Amino acid sequence: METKGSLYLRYAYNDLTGNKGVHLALLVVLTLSAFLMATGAMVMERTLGSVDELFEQARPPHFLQMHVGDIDDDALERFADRHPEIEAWHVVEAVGFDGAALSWERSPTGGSGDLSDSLIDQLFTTQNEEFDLLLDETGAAPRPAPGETYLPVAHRTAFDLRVGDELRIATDSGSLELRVAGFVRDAQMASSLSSATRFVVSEADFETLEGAGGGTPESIVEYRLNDAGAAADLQRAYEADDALPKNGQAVTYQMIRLVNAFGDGLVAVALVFVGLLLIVIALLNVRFVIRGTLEDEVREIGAMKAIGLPDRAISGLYLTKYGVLTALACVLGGLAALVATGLLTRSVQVDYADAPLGLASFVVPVAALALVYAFVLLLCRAVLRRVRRIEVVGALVHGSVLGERRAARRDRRRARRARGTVLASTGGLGVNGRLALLDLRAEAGQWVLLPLVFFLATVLMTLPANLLGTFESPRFVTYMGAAESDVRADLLFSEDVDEVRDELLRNMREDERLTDVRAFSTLLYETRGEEGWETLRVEVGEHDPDAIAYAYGGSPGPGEIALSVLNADEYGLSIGDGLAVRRGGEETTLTVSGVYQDVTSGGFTAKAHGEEATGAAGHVVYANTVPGTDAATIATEYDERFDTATVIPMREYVRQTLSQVTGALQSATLVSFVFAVGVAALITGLFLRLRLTRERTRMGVLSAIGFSTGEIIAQVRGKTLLAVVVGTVLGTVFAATAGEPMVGSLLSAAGLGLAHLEFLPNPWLVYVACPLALITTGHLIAVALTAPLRRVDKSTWLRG
Amino acid sequence: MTRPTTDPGTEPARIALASRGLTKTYHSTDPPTRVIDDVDLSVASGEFLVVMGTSGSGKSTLLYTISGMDRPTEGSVLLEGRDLTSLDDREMSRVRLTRMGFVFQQAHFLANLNIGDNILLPALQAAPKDKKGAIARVDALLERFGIAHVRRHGVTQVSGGQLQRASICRALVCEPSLLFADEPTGALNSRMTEEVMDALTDVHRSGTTLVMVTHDPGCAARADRVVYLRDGALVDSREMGTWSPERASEREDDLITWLRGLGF
Repeated sequence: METKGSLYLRYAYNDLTGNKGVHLALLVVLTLSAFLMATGAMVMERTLGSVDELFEQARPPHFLQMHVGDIDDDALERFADRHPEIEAWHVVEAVGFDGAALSWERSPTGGSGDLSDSLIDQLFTTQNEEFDLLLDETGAAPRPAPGETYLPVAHRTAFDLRVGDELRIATDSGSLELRVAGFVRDAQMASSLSSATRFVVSEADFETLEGAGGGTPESIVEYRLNDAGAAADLQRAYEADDALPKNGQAVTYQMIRLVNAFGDGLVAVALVFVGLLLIVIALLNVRFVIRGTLEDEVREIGAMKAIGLPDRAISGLYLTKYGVLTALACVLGGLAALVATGLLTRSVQVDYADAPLGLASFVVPVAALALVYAFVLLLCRAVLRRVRRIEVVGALVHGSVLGERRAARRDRRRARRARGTVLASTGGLGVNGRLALLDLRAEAGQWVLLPLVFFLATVLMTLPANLLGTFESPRFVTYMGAAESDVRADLLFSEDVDEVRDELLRNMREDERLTDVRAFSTLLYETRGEEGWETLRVEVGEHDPDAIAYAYGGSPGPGEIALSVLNADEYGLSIGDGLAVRRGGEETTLTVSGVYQDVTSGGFTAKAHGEEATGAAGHVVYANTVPGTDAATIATEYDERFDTATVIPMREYVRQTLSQVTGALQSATLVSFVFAVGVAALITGLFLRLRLTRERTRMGVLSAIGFSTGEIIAQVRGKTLLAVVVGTVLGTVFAATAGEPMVGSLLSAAGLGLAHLEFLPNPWLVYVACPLALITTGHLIAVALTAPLRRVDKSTWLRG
Repeated sequence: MTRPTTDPGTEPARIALASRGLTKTYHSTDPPTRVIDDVDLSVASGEFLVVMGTSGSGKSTLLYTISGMDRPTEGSVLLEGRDLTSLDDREMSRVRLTRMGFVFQQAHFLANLNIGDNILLPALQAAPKDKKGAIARVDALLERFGIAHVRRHGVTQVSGGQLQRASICRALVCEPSLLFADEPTGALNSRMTEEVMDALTDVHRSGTTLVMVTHDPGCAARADRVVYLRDGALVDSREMGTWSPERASEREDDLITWLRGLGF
């Protein structure tokens, strides 16, 4: 005997195979939604897992302070003794070389190259003992023999380096050659946002490098704590102690973690965002298809009701069908997600660690898929409530899903509307245009699907593109607390830094190719924090009022200070408030003149008016180039002339600093572009297919009374184009207006130092290419689907 | 009995519409179905011709093929000597707009236009500049067929008979020389059928050539001539002479006897 379940399934199977086009399109949309949700969830789980795993194995420091120059070991000992929360500490000695000083050679192929494209510091160091370990592929901490070196994994892909290659380091006393013995993963400096990368060498080679000259010796004081959460407190205490070394950057565990998860985490967030938008699109679509199906099959439903099948059983038939379809989509999407996740997290696994598969690895994607399934089924159930309202007589006699009273109400509504619409009234649209508009109005409930889908597709497409444009824009430096300029020179710490600065400035100011040369010094001030005096890094110089965009207020004049958003929050200050600072024992109160956005140095910076001072922690010089000159050539020239200065074109500085973020955003933008266009095409196709079936009689009448097929087709295409354009334009406007605060608050919540994100999009991409791509897609689908109408016998439209 | 493939009617003074070797085959079925089979048919100017036959005999297909809605597989259709099969879609729809009118079993009105606008639509399409003239013609037609009071009514607010008379108004608004009617009374009760047939007879009397497909001998009895279709081929034809209300039942009886002889 047949069970009810198997009957439902057989009905579902027959129905699904019987109406292939519509169900296939629906399946594809549902599968894409499931795929993206699962992939996003899995990438997130894997990335966090990989980062966690690497952190677990490599034990990065909870707080570190970089320093150039002498170190008072006793002061460090005393500090450690006073702080029982310190589990372990050490001072890592490193020698930094410029990328240009490093070259490689491969025998026997003879391939060679150098690392001059890498703008970050190349630090040579030995393997650590207790924590902050540099790990090879197996998770072991390698100790290279003399003559060997382990390179950062990122260099393997960036410069195509291999084990066995010869690395040559140019020092002041000749070059040192080391064989590449392997690659190491570095929990502390894996991200492109960090300003340095580390090479491991043997003790003997390290001493050689240290003594050879040409490199910059650097010390990193590192602390491992019992509780990672105490890092901020330790930092404050450390900075309050005058005897401790601290003329370089200070970094906490939270920053390392954030920086590590930022790039790939952003892709995962983007995937989930795209997935959620797709679910909304899929739901709209399912609703449209179910309502259409109920209308098409109203007589069958009427017959089932007439023979006494309960409403629940009838809805059950449909629910089984969509349940099967959604389950299939979830399985297909989930399987595809497995492959995609493998591809997307390959670099994460290389740079970080291969995360072990845990319970979460299975639960997270399954939960994402279950969510998709639940959403779709709940919607189906809601739409299928209409079955209850269908009346037997209305269904069987009039083929109407509406009961008698509802049908009468609809007719009255139509009549009322028709009374007012007079074709004869004036208007420049022509008969065809007017008919199309009237039809759009009358069938707005159906047609609204297209603008909605295109609205969502536009948002889907333009938000990542807006963000990418912002990160890639040369104006983005204004989010990095710096003025927009063409060339940037960073002076490295050296004994004669002040002389080098004066020499560099003199040269640049005399150079006719350069204008607006501005020098700034970073001074370490102290200010009152929660627990006494703490360090405040202040960039001192002549701040041009228009150089950077201030979120509030303006640039600092004499006696004034401007704070980064995070600093203003930290000290609870706003414009006009006073901030007591001291330097060299001299205390003054500066008035806050403005608040600006900054993502560099963890977002904690300040700017004050003043002269370029001696004894500064760092110096930076910005300059613009005159039209017709090449910033890159000039930068290289200065870079070669001044050993202890890094001079680079600003565009390159931004590009390299943000390479991981922009790389991730590029993938996200590409993925969302492809998906938006694909889904827009699919849904337009599906919608028009069903719509053309519904409009057969209308088209037949128009054909009989003398409208040409061309005109009938033009009406359909015109309606589609209008719906598509309205949706796309609204989507673009939404993304440009509401999208900005939306993304801004998300980034702000992430604590990156961006409080008020202003999109700096590539206008051609966002306002021309993206909308045009969507509109063209919609139109081409309409053209493709309506073209065959020309070959059809028109009487079939009237005769069913 | 040999199957005459030529219309045996007398040669009228002027041929309004003629088909030569008209064949329509549907290739979507397996094997292909020949629905119209080599039909030669002439309709005289001003004639009222009725096409009869059993269900599935190809009556409606013949109507849609000779009116240019569908393209024939073979053969030609001549409208006042001009071959319609050689026209492209735009030219053909212009011919339908200005020279032909259609009345269907269902009125097939656009639900979002009122009765008046539905009738006005083809007129505006034919001469968008002459709105005044078009509106005047619509008003005159509504008056003539006694439905002026439903001009601004919605299509669901009038009776079937009124709707079908409105449908005749729509067919006539461009003053065509040819009117095609496909079972125009098929969905109506007897009173409404009379109303509609009176209207069509009136149209015919005013000089319009009328080609009508029907099942109903009562309606067919109003024709000048009836042709009979079986399996897509014309098998017989009967001259009926001019209709008058007094001789209505006599003509109907006569027609029924003839139809019985053909196995109707």
